[in-house]
Amino acid sequence: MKRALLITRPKYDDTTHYLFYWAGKVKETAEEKGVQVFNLDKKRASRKEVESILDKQKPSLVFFNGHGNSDLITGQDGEVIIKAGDNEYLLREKIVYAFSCKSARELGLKSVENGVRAYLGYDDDFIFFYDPQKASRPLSDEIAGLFLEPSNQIVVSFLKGHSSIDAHIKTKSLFLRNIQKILTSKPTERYLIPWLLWDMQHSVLVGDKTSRF
Amino acid sequence: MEEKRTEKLSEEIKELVIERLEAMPSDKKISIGADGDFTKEELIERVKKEDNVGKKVIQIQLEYLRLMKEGVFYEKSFTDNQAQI
Repeated sequence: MKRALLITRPKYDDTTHYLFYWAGKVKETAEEKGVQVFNLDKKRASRKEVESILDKQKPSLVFFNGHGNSDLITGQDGEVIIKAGDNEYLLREKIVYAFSCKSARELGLKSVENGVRAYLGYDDDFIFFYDPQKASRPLSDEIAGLFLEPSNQIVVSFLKGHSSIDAHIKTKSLFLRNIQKILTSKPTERYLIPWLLWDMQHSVLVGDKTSRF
Repeated sequence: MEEKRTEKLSEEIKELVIERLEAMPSDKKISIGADGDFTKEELIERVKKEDNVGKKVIQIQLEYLRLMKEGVFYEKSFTDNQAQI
């Protein structure tokens, strides 16, 4: 297994547009740390390319971005790139973070049963707010950042050498920190709290708590 | 009789949720996974219709109110207890 990171970054609607840019920050962090990165963005976020990298390059950390469901994750234009009972065996021996709705529910569980070291993701919809006026510069959208920064922290924690459980707890702590910040000093943004809380509650870890990148 | 009471409760909950959604600014959007992106007005419409998105919004708001009542945001150990394996 190679100490490398595979990132999928589809970009074809508002949601994936935001995920694309915020995951780009994580990619830069990985590169700064000297980690080999296989970056599959836009049309390259396809089943064929993902399967090829997983099979031939064997990266030890996989970071999926995109829409999903309980048993699958999609890439560019909604193409299914990983599906439980189909090709999830390719994730064996890897650590996976799926920034994708609901996939921890079934795909996460099955993957771990079939040899994934740890699967981090969401067991329900991931929800975030954004400011459409900042859509051309998603990284400057502070509202979106309140949601996307904590979620991407999982991969950053792995890059820093932390364990799965530490990465998981750190992410939840950042959601909580943002909630507390709003409660104490940003009264006009209180409408965000139920949604931040929802994401925090539905961030889950399945598998080996002690696994590290 | 019981049915009428449940219906009334459901209407009251919907009204409560809509009232809470009214506090959202109109110039922001919300992304709800594969269901798409919504403005405040569109979200309120979904709650009124009680479709899948509307039901999810109601669930999220009620869950929030429950946890708020428990004072969960101020418990330091909260995130530590949430690790699910």
